[in-house]
Amino acid sequence: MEMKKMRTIVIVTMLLCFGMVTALVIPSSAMAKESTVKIGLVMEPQTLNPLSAESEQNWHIIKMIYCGGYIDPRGLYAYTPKSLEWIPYMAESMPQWLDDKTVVVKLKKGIKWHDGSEFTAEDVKFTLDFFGEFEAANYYNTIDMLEKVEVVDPYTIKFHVKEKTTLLYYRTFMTLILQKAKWSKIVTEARKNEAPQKYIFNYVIKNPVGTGPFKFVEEKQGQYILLEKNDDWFLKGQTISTGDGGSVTYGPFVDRILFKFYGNLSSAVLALKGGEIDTIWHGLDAAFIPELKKVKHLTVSTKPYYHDVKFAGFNLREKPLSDKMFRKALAYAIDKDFLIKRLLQGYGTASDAIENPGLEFWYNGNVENYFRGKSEASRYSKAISILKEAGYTWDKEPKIEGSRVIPGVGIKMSDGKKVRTIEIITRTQATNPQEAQSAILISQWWKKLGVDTKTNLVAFPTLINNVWWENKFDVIVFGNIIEPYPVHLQYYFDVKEIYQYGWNVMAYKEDRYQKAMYDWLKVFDWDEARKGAFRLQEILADDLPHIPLFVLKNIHAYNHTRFKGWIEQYNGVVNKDSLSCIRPVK
Amino acid sequence: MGYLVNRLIMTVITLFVILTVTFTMFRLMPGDPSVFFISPQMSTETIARIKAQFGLDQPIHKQFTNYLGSILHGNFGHSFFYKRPVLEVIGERLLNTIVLFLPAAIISYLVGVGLGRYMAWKRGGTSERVLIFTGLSFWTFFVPWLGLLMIWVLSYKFGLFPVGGMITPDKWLPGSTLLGRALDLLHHLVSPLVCYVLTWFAGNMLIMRNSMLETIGEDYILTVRAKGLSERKIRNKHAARNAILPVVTAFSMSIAYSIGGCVLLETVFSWPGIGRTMVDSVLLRDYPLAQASFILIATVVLVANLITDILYAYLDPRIRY
Amino acid sequence: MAVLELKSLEMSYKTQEGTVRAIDGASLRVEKGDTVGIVGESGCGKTSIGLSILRLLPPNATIHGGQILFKGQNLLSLSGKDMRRIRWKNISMIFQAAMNALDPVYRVGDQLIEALVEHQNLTKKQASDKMEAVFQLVGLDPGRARNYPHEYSGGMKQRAIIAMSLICDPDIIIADEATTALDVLVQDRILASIEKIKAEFSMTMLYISHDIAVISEVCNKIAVMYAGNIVEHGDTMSLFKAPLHPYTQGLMHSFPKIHGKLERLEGIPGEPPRLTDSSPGCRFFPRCQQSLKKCNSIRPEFKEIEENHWVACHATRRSL
Ligand SMILES: Nc1ncnc2c1ncn2[C@@H]1O[C@H](COP(=O)(O)OP(=O)(O)OP(=O)(O)O)[C@@H](O)[C@H]1O
Ligand SMILES: [Mg+2]
Repeated sequence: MEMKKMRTIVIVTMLLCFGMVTALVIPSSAMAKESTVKIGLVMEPQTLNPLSAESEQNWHIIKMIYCGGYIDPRGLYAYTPKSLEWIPYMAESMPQWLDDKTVVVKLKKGIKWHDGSEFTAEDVKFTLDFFGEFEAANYYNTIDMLEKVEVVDPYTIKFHVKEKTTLLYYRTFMTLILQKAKWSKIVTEARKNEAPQKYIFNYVIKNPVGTGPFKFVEEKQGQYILLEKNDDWFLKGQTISTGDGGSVTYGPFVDRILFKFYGNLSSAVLALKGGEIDTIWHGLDAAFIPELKKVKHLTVSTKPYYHDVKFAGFNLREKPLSDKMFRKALAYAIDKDFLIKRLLQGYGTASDAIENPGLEFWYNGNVENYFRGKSEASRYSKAISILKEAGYTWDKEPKIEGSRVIPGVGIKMSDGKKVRTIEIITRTQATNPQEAQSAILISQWWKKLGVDTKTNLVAFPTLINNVWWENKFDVIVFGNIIEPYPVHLQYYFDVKEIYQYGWNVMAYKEDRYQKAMYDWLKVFDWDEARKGAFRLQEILADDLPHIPLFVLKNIHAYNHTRFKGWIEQYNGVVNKDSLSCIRPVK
Repeated sequence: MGYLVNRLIMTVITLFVILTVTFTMFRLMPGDPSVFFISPQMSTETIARIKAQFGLDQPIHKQFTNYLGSILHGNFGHSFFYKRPVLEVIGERLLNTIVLFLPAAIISYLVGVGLGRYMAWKRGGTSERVLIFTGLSFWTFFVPWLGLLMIWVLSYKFGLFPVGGMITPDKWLPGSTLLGRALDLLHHLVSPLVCYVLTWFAGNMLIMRNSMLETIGEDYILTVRAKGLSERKIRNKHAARNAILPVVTAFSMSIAYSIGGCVLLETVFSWPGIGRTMVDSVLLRDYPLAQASFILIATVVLVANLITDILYAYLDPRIRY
Repeated sequence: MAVLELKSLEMSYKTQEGTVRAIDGASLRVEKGDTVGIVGESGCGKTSIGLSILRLLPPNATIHGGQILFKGQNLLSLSGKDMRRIRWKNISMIFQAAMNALDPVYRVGDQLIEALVEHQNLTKKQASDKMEAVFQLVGLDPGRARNYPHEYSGGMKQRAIIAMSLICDPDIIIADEATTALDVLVQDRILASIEKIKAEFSMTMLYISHDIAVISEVCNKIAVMYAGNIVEHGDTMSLFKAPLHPYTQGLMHSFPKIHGKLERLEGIPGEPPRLTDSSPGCRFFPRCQQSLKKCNSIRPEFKEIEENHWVACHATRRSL
């Protein structure tokens, strides 16, 4: 008995000693002296193949290696770090239009791939031809307005386009460019394969070569990815104006970036608080803010999240949702402020237009806001009067008594037919809690109008299937991708995007919008483009194919005692520019 | 021999059934995996062509026979999500899982059996009550909570162990010693292992205790005691040796049972094992990966069963023939 | 000096119904070379005596009086460790439940050897030779030593147990119902080999059985037990010829008719008392046809009435 006790005590002590010994005695070898930014990620990346990588986490890594791509608008051209105007990036100057169908782009000289070879016009042509030939899913939109790409000389490319539109800038000119030397071998193999697209898609890139600020060193599946600084980066040492009066000087000044994967957010947060990692790139939610703010070595930043404007979108193919008045009534019933306050604990911003309020240049805050911020009684009485005016009747009409709303039952259309049950489809609570909870709240609000509403929370593939591929849905609560240039005003609402798999799932086809939008695409003047975008947002707010809801704040926290010089941008403080500019605190 | 062949045939049939069930199950669920490689902007023809390349245009029974065929050739296809051969995705992770779970299972087994043995022997003492209480408390503890609590105390508060993961990349760079690497791995292994042992030992402990109490009453125990053997020998060589038999059976069941726990543990301790990948593959409709995972689990469970049967036959001469 | 001597031993079991006074004053002498039989009805405490001697009683049992002298040394005062050394080496026991007395997971031969190496410093070879020798002695094929218990028949198991009890050449063997579970033919054969071994090695035995026929065959002395008491103790001949205790008389009276279990005595009406009851008088009093007045209130002493013939009865003393 005594022996037993002793043995247990000895074992436990040994374990603890072991912990201390290993924690203290074996110091890290090389890296201790060098500066390594350690970034925690909660979801591990699937692949380093930029042709098939799709998750945002995955792109955080890929974009440090390459220039340009799926959600990294820095290719031949880029946006200024703060004011988000177009500037040359790997190009030397702004594009020169020879006529309405031809444009010439000059490349910077001396840009090097990570293997030391030079980046030239051949790489650009190869990449775009390759996207065309293989119909690469994520890059499909980069080539669909191109007729032909022509190499004039190693640093000059001539693009023959179908039309002179701004589409070309934010799609083609900002796309990812692949190294011809490396990829032409892969392409040759793919052509021989009986399933060429599949071959490319599943091609495992073991050692990616890009032109970005960091070079790939090592990957351990499910554990980490290690990058090291690229001293030959073409922006190294250059100072660039941020567009808002300030400027940044590019490094990279840190030796390495370590992306470390954690199985869950709570552990990652503990690792951040304990100093095991320097920041978490993605997925911090509001619940963690108070405890992170208490930690002395951390700085917490919150910015409206550019990537994702949440909305409730309608399927306009069928009655009653095809009725604009009906949609307007539904819009009055939604209490966005409640969503922000209660659901997001204040870590979000209500959005009246389909644009990120954080992108002040593009966001039109003066569109119809459907009594946002007004009392429940006034919003509902407006909604009821609109419905009545449009000829809707009820089994039991909803009523306002003082400040209370007495719910109605069994709303009927003007032809006397019962309005069938409206289903709100969205992702599950686990995948996206804000969307799921918003959907549930919205269905409660609509029920008060006598509209029988239910929610259907589904897995992501099911959502894609039902909404985009089969168009079998009534209302979807989802997030729109919003880029620094309001691209979405085209592809979410373009009639040409109404087909089985098209982006315009609502089947929105108002003529006045289509006309205004096509005119807008041809506007290259920045201020004129802004006016056009404002007008488009106005029309959308009136037609309501979408009811915009809110943008989440992107919550970032970083260890300011280890690295300084972080740059706060529209998409948060942890971004490619920050990582290219931060320096170790000595 | 016949016994073994029989068992093997049963194993293969079971595997086939599991295969068929998972195959059809995934395809009956709404949603289509082509979401991974098709862009909404593509034309219908393009989409059809790409789908064909992934074999998704064929009728289900055709897909199934194709699948069986390639499995027989050792080809489990490509993961839709990871975009690499399924075996490549599974391989290293499986190894990682084994590195954690084999020692964990064995230790929790030894601890459980040891404590169960001790408790039965010292029946009715306070130590028995204390052990049952703590064992059951840990047993009912939700693994993620216990895990996070451990991380919070051991890693965050006292900085003794890493928050998660399997290795510290710094310590595995070229030039690091083998000893350094081994220590680093062990350093990461301690917390998840202790967490596993804490949550799982109670099961083995209670089974062992009950089984032990039964054997202690057997006549042959009286005989060996009369033979003048020391208490320790009686307990270990005779009572425990007989009592272990039902515990061995429970072991294979607990292996199957602890796969669920394995997922949670890997998630909490960021262990780069197969568990999380398997769950994700199901959620993401990554058929090839999910199917391979199911086959893998089934194989593990069946093999564990097979081993238990063989072990049982070895331990109990009465069923050897 | 007697090999084994019990002096007014008292022990009881604690149960939920109360204290079971399983041995309530038992005295007994076993000289070297003797085979002493303990005979009595089921439940009278025979096994309890055997277990008390080896100090293998269950935890709910306590010995609260008397002495157990082994070669003059009181076993009850030995330390656990010393007692362990005496077990099997000096006193071995054949248990009533021989069918389950062997550990199912070890080879029979190994179980014999285990007892041997525990007490004697022997090489493997020596131990297995000795094991084979005792196997042959009890009429078992030494080739079967490598078998497991479940591969043995009941009779073989019994022989193996007997072989095991012999293996350390103990000073005394306690055989508790060594043959009772077997059929008559096997029983006879085993009894025959016990006889043979006894003769060959002049074994000392304490032979417990409720089969008086078997006892009469095997033993040269008998102790008759009734409800926790040894009521009469003497050599077989005199006990058969002139039983003194009324209970023994009843027992002998029924003897010619029986060759089997002594479940109930036809010769004596009534039933044995419950051992939880404690009456100050003679335990046999309620059934006794020769009882006196004081029998109900005073426990008769266990007295040597003739040379080597003890009896505990008020009536008997008077008849002398
Ligand atoms: N472990 C025990 N706990 C309580 N009482 C017991 C225990 N073992 C035996 N007894 C009781 O003690 C008394 C004597 O039992 P014992 O086994 O010594 O009888 P026995 O003479 O050997 O009987 P049998 O001929 O049936 O074997 C019985 O009344 C029995 O019920
Ligand atoms: Mg008995």
